[in-house]
Amino acid sequence: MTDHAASAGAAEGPALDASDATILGAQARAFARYVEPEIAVVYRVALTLTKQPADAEDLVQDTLIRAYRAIERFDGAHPRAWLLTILRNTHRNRLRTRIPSPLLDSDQQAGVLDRAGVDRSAEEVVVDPMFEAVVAEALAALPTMHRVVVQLVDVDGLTYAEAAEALGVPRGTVMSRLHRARARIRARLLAAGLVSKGSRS
Amino acid sequence: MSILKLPDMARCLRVSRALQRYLDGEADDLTVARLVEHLEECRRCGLEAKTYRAIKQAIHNGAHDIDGLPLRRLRSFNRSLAEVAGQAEQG
Repeated sequence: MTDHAASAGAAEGPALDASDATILGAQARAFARYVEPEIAVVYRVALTLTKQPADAEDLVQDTLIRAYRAIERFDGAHPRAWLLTILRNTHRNRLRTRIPSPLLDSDQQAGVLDRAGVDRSAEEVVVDPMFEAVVAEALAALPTMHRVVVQLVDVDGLTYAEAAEALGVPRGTVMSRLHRARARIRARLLAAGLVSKGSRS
Repeated sequence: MSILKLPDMARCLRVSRALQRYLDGEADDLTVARLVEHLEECRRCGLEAKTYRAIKQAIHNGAHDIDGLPLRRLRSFNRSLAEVAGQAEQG
């Protein structure tokens, strides 16, 4: 990460004159304004492409560098779509030159909750630290494709249509993944005794 | 199961299918009106909605913990890119 940043700085080359520097400064401000708010969405989409958090982070860094170099050609409209196009192109380029990692999906590595001592009334649903902890663990245990859809909608506030566009899948796929993901989370809560058995899955 | 309850069950099934869209603000006005009415009168579906609403809230509250570290690193990286150009402007 810092290596990339250092190389970005080292690549400045000869000294800049005042007009060049002013242009660069404007580009930097544009970059901060357009890119920073989209980093979470770009990272989550990268996770669906790489399946590995470390690879996703590297992919986003490469994407940011490419975006930075291309910022002067960007018209300011639809920064998310612009960044996601760069992300996908960068991912394709990386696949051409890399051998895929054989590691398992980290989402398969969820731990087991300690469910001892949980005792709730059958009718009660309480959002408390235990509830949030079980939800967080259940979310982390979901397949990446399902988890990311939930995060795009519930954390990043994307509509179904926006999430579908970001992920390059039909809107119906977003809806079915959301439904399955939340049902799984609810099942974990049920197993932990944190929601009523009376409600359906 | 009584046959007399089948119409209620059918409504509950329809509500169950539309519940996620409703909670995500994606349901149309007519569906919302029907859902709200049913959720008020059906304890079981009301509890279902309450559970999923709580799940959404918990995800929103705790989501930053899941991807928090890589996102902090990426934002820092992004700012470092911008600072390179910012320093060039000052120089």
